Amino acid sequence: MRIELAGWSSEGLRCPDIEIKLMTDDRIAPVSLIQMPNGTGKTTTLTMIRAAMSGEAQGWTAGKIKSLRRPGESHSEGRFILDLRVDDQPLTFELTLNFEAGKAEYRTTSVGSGGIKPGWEPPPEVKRFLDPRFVQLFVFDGEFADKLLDSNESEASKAIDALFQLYLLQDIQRIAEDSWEAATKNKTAKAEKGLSQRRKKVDTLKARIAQVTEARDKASAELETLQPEIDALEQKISEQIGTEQSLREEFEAKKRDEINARNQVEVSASEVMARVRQPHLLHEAFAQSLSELKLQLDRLRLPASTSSQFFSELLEEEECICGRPLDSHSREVIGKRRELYLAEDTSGILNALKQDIHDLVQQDGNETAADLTQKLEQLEQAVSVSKFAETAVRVLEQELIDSGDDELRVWTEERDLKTRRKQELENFLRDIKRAASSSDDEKTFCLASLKKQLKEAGDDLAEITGTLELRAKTDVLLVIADLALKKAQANLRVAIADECNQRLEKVLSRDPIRIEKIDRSLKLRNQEGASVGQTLSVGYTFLTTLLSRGQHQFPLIVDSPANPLSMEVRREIAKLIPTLCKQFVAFTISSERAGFTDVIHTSSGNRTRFLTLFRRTAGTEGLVESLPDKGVTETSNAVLVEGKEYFDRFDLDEAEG
Amino acid sequence: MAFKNFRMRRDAENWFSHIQDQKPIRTKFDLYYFCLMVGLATGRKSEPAKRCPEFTDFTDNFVSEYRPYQRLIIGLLIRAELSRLGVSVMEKDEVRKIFVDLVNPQNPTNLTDMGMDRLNEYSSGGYDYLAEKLDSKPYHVEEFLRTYAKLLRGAIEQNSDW
Repeated sequence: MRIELAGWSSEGLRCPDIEIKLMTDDRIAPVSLIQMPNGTGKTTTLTMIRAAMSGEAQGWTAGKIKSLRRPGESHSEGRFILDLRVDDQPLTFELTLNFEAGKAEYRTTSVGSGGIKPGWEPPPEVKRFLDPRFVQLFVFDGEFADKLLDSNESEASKAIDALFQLYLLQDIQRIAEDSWEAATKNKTAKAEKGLSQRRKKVDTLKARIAQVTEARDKASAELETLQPEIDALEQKISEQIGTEQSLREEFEAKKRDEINARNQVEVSASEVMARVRQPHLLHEAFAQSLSELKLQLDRLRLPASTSSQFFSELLEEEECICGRPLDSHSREVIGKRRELYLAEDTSGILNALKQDIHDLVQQDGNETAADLTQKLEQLEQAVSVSKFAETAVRVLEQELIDSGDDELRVWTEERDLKTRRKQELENFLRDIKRAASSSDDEKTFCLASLKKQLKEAGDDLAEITGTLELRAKTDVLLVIADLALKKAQANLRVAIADECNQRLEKVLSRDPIRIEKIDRSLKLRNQEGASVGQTLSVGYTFLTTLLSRGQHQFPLIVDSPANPLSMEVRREIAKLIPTLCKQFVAFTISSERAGFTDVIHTSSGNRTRFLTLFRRTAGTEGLVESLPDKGVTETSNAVLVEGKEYFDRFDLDEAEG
Repeated sequence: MAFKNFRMRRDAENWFSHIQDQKPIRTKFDLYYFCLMVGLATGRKSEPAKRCPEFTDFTDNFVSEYRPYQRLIIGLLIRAELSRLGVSVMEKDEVRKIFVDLVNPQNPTNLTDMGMDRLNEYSSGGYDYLAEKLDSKPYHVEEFLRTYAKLLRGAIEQNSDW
């Protein structure tokens, strides 16, 4: 399926009243650049495009709807018409905002559905691609592509979830929970007393789980960025200290000592642990006690050479081995005494124990508890050396700070702050991930405990409302949906990373940058070494790879694509974008032109459509007077000019808009 | 056939949470063993489930690092039980009975269900002792190892059974 944006028109909204057409001679331009000074309504236009496309305005609040009326005006309605092409067939959404009633109404026109229909009613085959969570993958602002690689954000994983509609699995969970909750509300409780209290407990625990989950995700993301930041600061500190040759050598030597000492602590701790795991080395009393045990067993002749099996077999005979017949009394006595003999295999264990004591504890030359003591002393010494080495490095840093190196002071303070923060976050996450404990209450951060408490509270509520069976079924469904979600996410992330890398090999053939893995965000191989242009290129490649899966094509509609970028990066991105998608629509300001528009025009095969839109105000009177002869559309509150020449020379003070 | 497992109390697991991922700790068995040896050294035991309703049955056999010393650990368990029950090592029938009660070669651990229960009880008692004696949970494994060795030594020296 190929979805294209053919144009839109707006009337009575915060953005100007205007009709924008992205088609030239019945063909949609591969690149359309719409230059709009700040304040012309770029954000409103993007919001309306998204809303018209996804049907999301049906859920808008009255306040949100009223906020889209042009300030200072009192008309009761605003209208936005979005013109799409789906496999070359028109599909139009008309969104009317009633500012008085605070309501949004849709009308849909599509081929083969009987003309205009009330409501947001795209054909079923298109509908899945117009889910709000999916639409935001191709209608976004310029910072979105960058966010895909930001480990503080989870846009990459959200994008995959949206494309493969994994949110449906979460919807299943939500619907199942809602259904059970509705059932508990509809049932009369067997005992009214305590019912609302139980409901409140379930609600409180759910809210707490959501809160802790969010806190966990934030902490994990922050933690992920902290170590590279600490490393970068360490690097800066080392370089700063190293600007003087003599100091550099001393500092590097001390850093080496610090690392070596730390390694020695690990080696010593491993040596100690290897001995702690041997019980007879833990204390001489243990070794002695085992030796005594063996000695006494030998003295008692345990295990005896005769096993209980011998007497069991004897009892099956008519006569004793001495030749006398076995009467009932003799049998009873033998049967009882048999229990005092060990079974053959138990005797085997006893013999093996004695052998182990002999081999491991009593042999000359074996290690003893004294060896553990020695290893502990070595560990103590290693810890002391390590602390000393660490202090020596810090002292040197401090000396430089004291001698007036303010930059170094700032960096070391920052590093220490971040190191402490890292420790705090690690402890916090450990507390969240720890096992449940009986002393935990509803305020705990332990997720396992909260989930357990929720399960108990849910069961409790189910029991009092007579919905136990439904609760049990709901639980099964929740587990299945959760497992399916996790499995699908894990598999898809690997598959998408592979596909993106194949594409990157083609589009960035000269820059060997690749995706290492995808979790919340995209992780690049050697990310530290990647330029802004490269990372952003990966972001766009990732999005377009996702969008083009299954032979589908979507437009990329981007607000201010070049604004956050340096000149060099703009050129890279402008060159890349037309190769990644069939239609690119961008809202720009004049300061984004440099390094961007000419390059993108060339790489689109000179098939870029240039449009300039500005408001009619007292400040733009001069512009209105000097409009070109052709390609101008004027409305009561805006002017639209087509053409590259005007686009290139348009220079309205950005503050003016 | 289901065998009794090594059982670790949740509160004990939480107590070790800061060092459980630090080298050279490798498995939960290391933490269990720290507690067990203190339990045997002090002769202190408690039922895990009674001390803490949440627990994990984490493995049904000695892990590889401990398998060479499996029988020595069983030997120390037998020694501790003989002391606890006041059985002299000269009382042949009583000694034999304790072996029969505790040792079962058919089980992977070579212990009967009763033997596993006792081992878990000593580990639980050992944890109680550790948590009582140490002011805070351990944060650095290299410090804990030194503290642990001292504490164990002190415990054995105070226990006349050893």
